[in-house]
Amino acid sequence: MTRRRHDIAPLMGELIEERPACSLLELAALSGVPAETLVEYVEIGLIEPVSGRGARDWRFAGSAVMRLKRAERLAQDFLLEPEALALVLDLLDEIDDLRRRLRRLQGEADIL
Amino acid sequence: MEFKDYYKILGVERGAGKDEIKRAYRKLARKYHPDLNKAPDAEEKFKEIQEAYEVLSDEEKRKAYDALGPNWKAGQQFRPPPGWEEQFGFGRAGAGGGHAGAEGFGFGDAGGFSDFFETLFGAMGGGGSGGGFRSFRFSTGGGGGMRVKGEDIHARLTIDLADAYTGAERTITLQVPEQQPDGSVRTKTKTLTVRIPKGVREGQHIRLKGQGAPGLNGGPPGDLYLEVSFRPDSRFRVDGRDIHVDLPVAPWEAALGAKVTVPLPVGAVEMKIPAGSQCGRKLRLKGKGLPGRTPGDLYVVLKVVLPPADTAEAKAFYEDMKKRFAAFDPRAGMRV
Repeated sequence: MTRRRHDIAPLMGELIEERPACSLLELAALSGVPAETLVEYVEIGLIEPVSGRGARDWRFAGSAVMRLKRAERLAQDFLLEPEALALVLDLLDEIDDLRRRLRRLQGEADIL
Repeated sequence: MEFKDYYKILGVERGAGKDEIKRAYRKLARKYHPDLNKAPDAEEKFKEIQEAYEVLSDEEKRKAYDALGPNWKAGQQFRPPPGWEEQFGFGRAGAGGGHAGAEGFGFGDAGGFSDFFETLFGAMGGGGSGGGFRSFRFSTGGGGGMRVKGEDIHARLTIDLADAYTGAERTITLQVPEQQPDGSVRTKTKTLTVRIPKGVREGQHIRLKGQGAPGLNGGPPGDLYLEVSFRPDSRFRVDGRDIHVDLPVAPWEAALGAKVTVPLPVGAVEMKIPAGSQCGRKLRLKGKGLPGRTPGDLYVVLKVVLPPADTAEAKAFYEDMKKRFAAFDPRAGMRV
């Protein structure tokens, strides 16, 4: 018999997209992407701080964490350079957006 | 367990050269990468492709696999031939451990190659060659002894829209890769009960700190990320926090106005249809969408449904309507 650990009390997760904005170093810790790479990513616009002029004051939305994780997976699996990576991420976001709109409109089109 | 035809999975001949295998793999990886392909079975397919490439791109593994002979068919019941371990030295055959996915769980078994792979090549474990299987790629930088943080695990969690309205608890089962003392990697079944926060939206991620793969050499464990998606509900369409619902109404309800009951993912709400509404009219119920700091709205799209003219009486009624509305031209705006 394999022993299974079964937690009785439910685990309270953190909703990444709703978490308060974080600093560059916090973002590095959360995403696993080194701070120097993040600075490079900001320079080419792969991620954008929600506020702050210089790297010290930058604040990032929680959604940046998932964008970076997706970026890391894609970079690793397809050997993408940062510029190409930014392009792919933007296109994927746009596709997501269009899909959402399509799903919403498809139902209405059936009526009219 | 079932035999896997790795050549068929990559769509190449048994005698295919290294370059050809690599080309086939890269093409399929682009097609089925779960970040690029949102089809529910893409993750499964992608994993299968990676597993096939893991074997066929590695000379030793491919040789061992080829030695099974060309007569096996995909899906056929398979047991490794006697003497397999001694001959190829891939170590002990794994116990298998079924991939029991929790209800409503997509690709929880983040570390899982098939039982077939585990049995043949199980104890070879991590590292792997070229193409890379993310979850198994324990970064063993600098050799043994280094404390390394465990891998983060990404899994999909499918919930009902109602769960997002009220919050819920779900028990999930997932496969987590774990390094053994001898350096090999095994997957372990892990069961967790997770609180789903009220107001969660599709595509958002719940992060469970420390619930990912265990760290190496005393390093901290990785995190578990659950990507939330909603089980399709034919009544509702979701757009961020807003919910859209098509509401069938009778012609007289649309023409004269009416009070109707509109279903919500949880419960229902009373709504007034203004007199003179047309089919397709969109009415907004503020704050009746997904809850949150700024709750979403519920959009009700009226769908006028005609009673069938299937009895003499109903036909007579439509005939009468035709006479009484003689001046009504529904195509007046089309200039025909």
